[in-house]
Amino acid sequence: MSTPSENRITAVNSRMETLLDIRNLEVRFRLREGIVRAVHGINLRIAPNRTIGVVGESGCGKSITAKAMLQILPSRGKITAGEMLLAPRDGGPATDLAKLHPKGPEIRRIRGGDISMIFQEPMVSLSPVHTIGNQITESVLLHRPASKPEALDRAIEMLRLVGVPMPEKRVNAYPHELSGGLRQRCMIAMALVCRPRLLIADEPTTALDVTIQSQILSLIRRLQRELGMAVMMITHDLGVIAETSDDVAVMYLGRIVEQAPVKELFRNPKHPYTQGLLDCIPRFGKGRDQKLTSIPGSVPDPFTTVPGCPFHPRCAKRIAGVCDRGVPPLLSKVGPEHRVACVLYDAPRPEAAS
Amino acid sequence: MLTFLARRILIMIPTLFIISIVSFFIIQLPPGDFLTSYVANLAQTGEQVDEAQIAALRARYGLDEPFYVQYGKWMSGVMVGDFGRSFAQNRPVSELIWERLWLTVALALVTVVFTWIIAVPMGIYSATHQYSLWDNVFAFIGFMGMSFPSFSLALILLYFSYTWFGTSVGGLFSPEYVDAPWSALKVFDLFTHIWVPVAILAVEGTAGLMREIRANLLDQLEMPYVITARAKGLSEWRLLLKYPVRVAINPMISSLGWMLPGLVSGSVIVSMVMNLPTTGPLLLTALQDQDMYLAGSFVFLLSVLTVIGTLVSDILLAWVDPRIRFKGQES
Ligand SMILES: Nc1ncnc2c1ncn2[C@@H]1O[C@H](COP(=O)(O)OP(=O)(O)O)[C@@H](O)[C@H]1O
Ligand SMILES: [Mg+2]
Repeated sequence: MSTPSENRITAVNSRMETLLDIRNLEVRFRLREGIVRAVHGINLRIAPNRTIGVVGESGCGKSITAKAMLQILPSRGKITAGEMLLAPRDGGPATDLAKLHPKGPEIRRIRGGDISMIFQEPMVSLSPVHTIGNQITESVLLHRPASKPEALDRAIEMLRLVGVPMPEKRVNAYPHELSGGLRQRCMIAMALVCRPRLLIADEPTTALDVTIQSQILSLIRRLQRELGMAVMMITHDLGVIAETSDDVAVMYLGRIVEQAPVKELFRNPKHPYTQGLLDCIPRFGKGRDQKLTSIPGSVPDPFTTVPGCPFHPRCAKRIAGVCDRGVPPLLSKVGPEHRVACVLYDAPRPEAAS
Repeated sequence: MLTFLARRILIMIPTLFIISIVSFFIIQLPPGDFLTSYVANLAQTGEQVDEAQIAALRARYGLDEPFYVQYGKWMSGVMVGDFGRSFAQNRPVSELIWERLWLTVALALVTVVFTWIIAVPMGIYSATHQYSLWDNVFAFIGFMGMSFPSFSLALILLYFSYTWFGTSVGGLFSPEYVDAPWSALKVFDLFTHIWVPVAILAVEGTAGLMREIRANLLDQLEMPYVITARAKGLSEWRLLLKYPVRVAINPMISSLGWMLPGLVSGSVIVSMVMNLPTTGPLLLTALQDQDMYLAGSFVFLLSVLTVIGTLVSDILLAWVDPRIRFKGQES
């Protein structure tokens, strides 16, 4: 049993310690056909040593959120509102990543140094014409005062850490000489070689086959514990969330519609969209290729703005005259750690309204 | 890499052999042979025909013998640098060819280098600033350059330089150096004159290359590996040059080898217009005169250049693109 004061401290720690605080982030694409609001005012707090899972159907803005965090949006995309406060490594004021110039030196120090990212397609995410060693040592040389041989040693050490066999040989290999699983391990080594405080993994296993998938996920989990970093795990697969995450944010059309610790979310999903996603998880005995698309309807095209709750056209529980009016805010309606953006949970709690 | 090289060089030998047969076949194509028309010419002008000399020449080139014997004789000459004799000019072919050949190669090489130096930065700028003012300006210049025949550009340039400055920009040397033996000063003189034909010849290639680099680079700019590199914290310029430009230029390196022979043959008309001492005009007259040893040797040597150019670009491509090297090792 811990004393009440210890309890209070851990509670304060888990509540207060924030690595990256995303507030009201909004990303828009200005295209010839119109404006796409890819990210629609999301709030997300990322804590050290924890894994936050971000889940949602394809096109709901997961990758764009992640790219906005590093200011590596596609050329037409702009952060149009919000803040992303990154806690400094040692005291001092937080840095607002949203205010940094996308080509400036400050954000470049943070990319790969404080926040790293790995991508969906290990096949095409590494340069085909440079060796693995070249690409990993480049990261080291960018962020650490190291000589080339030192950087190479670090690269080899890192490859060993991520379980690449014969790393002394593999540093001289080109990506096309390696299997998909090995390439993703090399990507992870490259992302982690400068010990970032946050790793963003954008569908890191989607392009890999199932047996390799779980290897990579447990590798990420192991490294997270060993290196003590935060992980943002982006996926469309709730199975991946269950395997890796501590907390979950469910995204739909550029908004977070539900957020909860992982167990709570799986046990007690509140938003009809989350419930729909969970219903689609393939169980044993059913086909594995049963996908999330079994929610009726599909994601509307990005140029139309849905009035009211973005999910209401597809929602079986929609209330006419309510759901098509206002966008419900993301609020703690069912518990302190469990927030949901749905009017269904407003009515029975009159005390919350006062 | 070494096995790759060795294989490529070995393949060259049969290729050159086949080319020499084809070249020789071209020599033989017109009806009759040089000596019959030579003798006919002499007879027409009423000159005395030295039967003994004709017979000696006939024997020397084996003109009455079957194709393969003639080929053997010509080829054994070629091996030691004797390409036969130009009948029209009554001089050994080799004497006529070498200087022009080197000048041609020099002109082509300088043009290629110049083309790349201009086209690559323009292409990179256009791709990274797609639809900007300068992208459109470059595109306009590019299409003009591609559609405007270079010989008419040469004519216009000649006309204006003559009417405005009273000087001719033709030729590759100042008058006092044209027949002078090679010296440092003559080389320098060459370099001061070569720019005008180079600029004219480079226009078309530059326009094409620029559009090609722009298109290739646009395909690469938002590739995942570029985003990966950006996510590492690389600065935009280093990123651009190290990753997408490198990948975008790769396929064009293989076209370097074909650019050389293309320039050699493409420069014929410009060389005529500008009175350049390159192979083009000589080849044309040789063909008109049916001076077939001269013409055949030209065809052969230009083909050799093509083969060498292709070899060079294959080596370059294998050197810059590990995927190709890898394939070479596998098979
Ligand atoms: N390069 C782009 N140009 C225009 N719109 C884009 C671009 N990338 C993404 N979007 C828009 O942003 C939305 C979210 O995309 P994304 O974050 O990639 O989805 P996902 O959740 O599958 O990762 C898409 O539906 C699309 O409308
Ligand atoms: Mg995505």
